[in-house]
Amino acid sequence: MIQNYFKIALRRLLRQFSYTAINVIGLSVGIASFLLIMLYIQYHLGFDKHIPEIQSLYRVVQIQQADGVGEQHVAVHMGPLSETLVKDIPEIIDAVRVMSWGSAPVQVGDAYYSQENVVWTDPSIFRLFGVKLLMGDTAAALAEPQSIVLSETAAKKFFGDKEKAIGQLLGFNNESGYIVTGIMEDQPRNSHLFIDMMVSYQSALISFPWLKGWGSNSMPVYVKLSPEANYKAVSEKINKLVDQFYKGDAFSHAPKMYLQPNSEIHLRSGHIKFQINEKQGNYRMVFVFMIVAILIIVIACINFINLAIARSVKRAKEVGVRKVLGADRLNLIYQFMGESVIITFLSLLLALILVELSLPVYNRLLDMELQMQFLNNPLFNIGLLGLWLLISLLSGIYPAFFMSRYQAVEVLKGVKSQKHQSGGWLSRALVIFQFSVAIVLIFIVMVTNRQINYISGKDLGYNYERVLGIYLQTGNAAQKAELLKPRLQQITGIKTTATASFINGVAGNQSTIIVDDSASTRIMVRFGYVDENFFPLMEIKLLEGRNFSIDYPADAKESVILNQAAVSYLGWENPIGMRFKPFGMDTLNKRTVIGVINDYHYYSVHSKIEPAAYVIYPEGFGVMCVKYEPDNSKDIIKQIEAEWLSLFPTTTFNWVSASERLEKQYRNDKNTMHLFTMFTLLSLLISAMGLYGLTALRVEQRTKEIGIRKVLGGTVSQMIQLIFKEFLLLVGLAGLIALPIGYYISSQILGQFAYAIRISVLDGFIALFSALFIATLTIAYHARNAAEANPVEALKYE
Amino acid sequence: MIRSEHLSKVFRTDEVETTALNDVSFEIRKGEFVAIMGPSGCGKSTLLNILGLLDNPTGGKYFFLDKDVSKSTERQRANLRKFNIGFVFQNFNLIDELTVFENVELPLIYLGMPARERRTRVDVVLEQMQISHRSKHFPLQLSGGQQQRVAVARAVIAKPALILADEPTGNLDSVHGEEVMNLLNDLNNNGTTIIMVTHSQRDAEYSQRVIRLFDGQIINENIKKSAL
Repeated sequence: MIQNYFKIALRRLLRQFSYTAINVIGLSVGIASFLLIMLYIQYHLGFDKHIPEIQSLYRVVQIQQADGVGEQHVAVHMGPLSETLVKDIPEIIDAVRVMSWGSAPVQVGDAYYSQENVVWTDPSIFRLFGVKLLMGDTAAALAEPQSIVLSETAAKKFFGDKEKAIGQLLGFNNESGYIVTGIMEDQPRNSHLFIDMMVSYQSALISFPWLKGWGSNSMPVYVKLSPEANYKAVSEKINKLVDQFYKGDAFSHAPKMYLQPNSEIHLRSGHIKFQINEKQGNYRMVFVFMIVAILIIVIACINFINLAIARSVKRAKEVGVRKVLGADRLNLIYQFMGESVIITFLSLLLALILVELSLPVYNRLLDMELQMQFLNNPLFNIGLLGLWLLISLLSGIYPAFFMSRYQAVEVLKGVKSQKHQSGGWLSRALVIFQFSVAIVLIFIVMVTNRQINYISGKDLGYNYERVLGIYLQTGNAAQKAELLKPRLQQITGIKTTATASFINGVAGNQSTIIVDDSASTRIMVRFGYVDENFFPLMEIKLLEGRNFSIDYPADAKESVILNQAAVSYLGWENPIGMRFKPFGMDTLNKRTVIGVINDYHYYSVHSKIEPAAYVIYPEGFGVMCVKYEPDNSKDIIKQIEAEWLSLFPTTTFNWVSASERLEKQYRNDKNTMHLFTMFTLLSLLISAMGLYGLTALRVEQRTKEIGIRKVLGGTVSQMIQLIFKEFLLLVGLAGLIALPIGYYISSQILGQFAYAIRISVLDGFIALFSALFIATLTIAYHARNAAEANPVEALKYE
Repeated sequence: MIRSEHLSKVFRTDEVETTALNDVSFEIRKGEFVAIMGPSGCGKSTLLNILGLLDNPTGGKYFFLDKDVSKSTERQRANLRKFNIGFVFQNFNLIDELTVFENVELPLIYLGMPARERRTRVDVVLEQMQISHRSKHFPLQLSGGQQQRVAVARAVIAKPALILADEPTGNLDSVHGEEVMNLLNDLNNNGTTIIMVTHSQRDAEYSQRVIRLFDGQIINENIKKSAL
């Protein structure tokens, strides 16, 4: 019997090829979209999964009340915190500090490298993060100052072979005498803490003795709790402990501390500043995409159901005959379910091919390396099997019950009662649902697209075009800058140069400064270390006062320039001439405000512009900024490199482009946007395909009606209207449902940006009219054919 | 074999009530060939559907193989049907996606017969109906007469005691129509009971008895001399 079902199903599918094609293509595009999204979600959910006992690992976070900034969560702490926690809180059984500076210069023999993903850390990292050593001893590898552990890849890069690396000497951060004490396995890419090189924390204590004190928050701290500990209770204990340190300090608010489960770091850290979080994700986006994936599958299943019901009139005869010949309802349900299982299986195969083919483009679009792994991804395989059964069931069950209900006697009598006609309330409801989803998605795409354009096109308050930043690296940066500057000015095409802490003007850290007034007003600022050329080079506007100048030698020691955000927090009407006590110390020179600059976005538009204070402080210089003439950046970079290497042969040449850096900040937004647009288009395509098939069948069913109407004098255009009315009304209704939902979701998305566009009525109109337009195009072909057909033919067939 | 007592069938919609059969009583013995005749809308097909256990009467009693089946459930009727009744329709009602062989085989599949046995039985019947050379063709590749022969083959394949034929020659020309009537006649000669609804006096000539219906009632029963 099964063989018979299978046979008839296959023959039917082949015979009604266009119907099968619509079904299989629609479903496979739907399944492929679903799988692609699931790979993306699996990637995000898979972060840090390699860490053993991750459930007992937590990251310490502190909530600070920063004057001028407000409440902020930061995941960096004071140097001695981790030791204190382990000593004083019994539930904390282990802890590790992981201090990162991103990249650092490494010297191996005569070769120089700029090594990424470098951290200073404690030996406990081996225990807490499950880092495995291929060579060396975990107990000893990071115990002594100047010990270094390399990843296998880094070891190969420096020494050609990991065997040769162990025990070798290398220079790090322009200090010689470091020794390779261990080679670790390459760390998984989907780790929020991606490391290629570990330097013993003891070395940091020697290079930066201030880390021994409680004065600055410089490093993430992770703790391991005993199995029975409750992390919220432990958070309270940490708070009490920290409060003690701040007792008697009238100026500082003690921060509030809490523990964040390690498993939440990748997706739930959007609110945290100052953290190590490689390829940070956002649980909201994961959730949104999960919904999109499910919607797309549902839309594809709806096509299947609608087409099957619409075609059921044609199959009524078969149902009747089978019943007469002795089939009962169950036999027929099995048969129809069987067909849905076959169609789903074919679609699944096609979907896998589609996924395989589209993965390279998809990965490029998302800047990821996703792949389908049948062998070592059991979840994926089980998921596929589950998907097959679920879709078969979802799309097959209703048509199966619907059709098996037919009464043999009615069917054979040739009675096509109304209840057998398609286009019942269910089909209509399903079309409305499909188009509601499509309109919601178009709405969101419209809004987010405008937002991304707004961000990209927003006046950031400075001109980042054709600006390079040359890393001055450690050592005497100011001196390097002095040597480099005249050489660079010789290069044709270079207009001006400036020196600054970083290409965006600020140093990355925050500090509190105190106003020299009776109330000792405090403000948390981003410090910017710049010379007198930085603001003109970046075309940052001076709103009041003057810029730093070599005509005022005292500027270097006594002057400060604020941004508008700082001035408005302080509420000063006449900021020029106001004075600060640096670090609240009376022994240091007081700084006088000499100018106020326009607020410019030194960080991304996601965050608000915080108060900033700029001083001339050569020890803090990090980059030399170069503004060059259009169109010859490659050539200029080569010339700069040559100058750099001739001046500083024992270093590497590293640079950053201001516009590329900016582009990188929004890459994540753009990737998400691409993904969203892509799946919106696909869901539209699937809906349109379904509508196309459904119209064809509906028109066929109405052939007689149209014939009679034409005989009675109906015109072609009236007939076309007749068909359009039925479907466009549904799309209109979908609009009513979809627009408020689209508005709500879009405003949630915009909420993630500190600076956002306003949703306009136009967004809704465009979403609705694109759906109507697509529906019109889809229906037009069949409507015209049916309306123009000869009524005699139409009536003959009935 | 078949006995009806005061059968009636009323179709109701929200506003209209139509009486299709009204107080119909008759008996058909095993091995008879009976024709039911009457003008369009007189209730012939309704009667045939009830006799064929495709529908239940609204009133009266219907005994099939001496058992009252007038209140049977769909499942009970389906079971009786598949073992005892074969159908031949005016428009053949073959399944377009199945070959001739598979169409004929279908009732045996629903009876749960093993494949080997099915094959032998179908081969024999197709041979009898002189259509075995077409066994791999699809219905739409055949002439009307050939299609109806396939339909007859399908009706007899399960060796039913009763064959119900609803205008079996209605869609055929006279030559093919005669072929089909001869087939039915042969079956009857071999002991199969046949009830046939027809408009055609010529076809009715093959039967032993004619039941005439008008407006849902039997107006007369003719027993032909040849049958006596």
